[in-house]
Amino acid sequence: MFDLNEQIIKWRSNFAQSETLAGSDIDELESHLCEEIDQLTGLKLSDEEAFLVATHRLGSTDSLATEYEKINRSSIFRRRLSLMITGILAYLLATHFATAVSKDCVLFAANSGITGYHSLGFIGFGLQILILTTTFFLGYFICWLIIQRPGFKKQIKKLTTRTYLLTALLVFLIMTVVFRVAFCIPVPGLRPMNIQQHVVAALTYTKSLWSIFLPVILVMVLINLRKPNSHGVKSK
Amino acid sequence: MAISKDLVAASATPLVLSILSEGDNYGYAIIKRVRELSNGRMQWTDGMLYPVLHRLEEQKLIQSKWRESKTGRRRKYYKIKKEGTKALKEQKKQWEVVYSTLRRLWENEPCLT
Repeated sequence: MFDLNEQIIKWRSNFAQSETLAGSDIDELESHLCEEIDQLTGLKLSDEEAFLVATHRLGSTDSLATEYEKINRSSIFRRRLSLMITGILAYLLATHFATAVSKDCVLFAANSGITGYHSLGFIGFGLQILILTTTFFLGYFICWLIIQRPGFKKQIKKLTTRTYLLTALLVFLIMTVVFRVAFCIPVPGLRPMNIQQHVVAALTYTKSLWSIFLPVILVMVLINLRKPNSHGVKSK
Repeated sequence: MAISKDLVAASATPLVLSILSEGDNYGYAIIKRVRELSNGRMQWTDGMLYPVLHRLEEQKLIQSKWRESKTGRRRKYYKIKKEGTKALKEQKKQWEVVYSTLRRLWENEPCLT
């Protein structure tokens, strides 16, 4: 039995795989397809026949994707760059988290009697690698699941991109500062330092500043990469 | 008689702008109108109209808005802007030059029938 709705969903998913068409482009093509099918079924064609004729008239997925690529080139570039920057941000966040947790664990281990640079070094190194990889891949996987969820696009449309990104920036900043402070504060607090150690601590703080500002710069770039309001297009 | 692809592509902009200068319209209706006006001789692959519309929108000659029809179907309506009307005037002039040039050449041809 031919199910028209199911076929339309399948037809849509072919376009969704091509990154050259935006969601609203596919919506527009689908609206056209439905008009054509209505017209053809009005001429006594069956649902199946109408669907086949209408999709044929609309053109093949490949040829349409090629045409759309010509006009959507800049937005494709923006999307790719946004993905890359998001990846870097996720990596930075995972690094901060891993560094903070592993260093604190090393300090905890040192205070609970484990001695020797080798064993402490191994604890620190092992923990950092383990936490870094798990946080990064788990975070990436969760983000991917959220994005794939149906209805996600509608939720995004309700918020403006700017608010969405600024919230992300704020959360990111708070987390970065918390992780950095969690690592930096206990070190000078636990034992008295000589001049050399003061220099090391100062360098660590400078590095912390950089690690806070780099994400801010990246998030600013992300905000500016957002698609300019496409000339008053408002989707419901 | 089918019109060649190149000619269809070249005439797409003035056709779309002219149809939109009659009033706001959406893709499906624009294609239908072209088909009616040309008695079905100008055949577009339907989907190819949309990249043309989006290009014109990018050039700020037209603007678009989603609206809901009486049947509840969402349609993206296009509206011609001031710049679009200006561009249409310019296109008209250019097409008239092409048309009159060809006309003159063909008027001088000996008629065989």
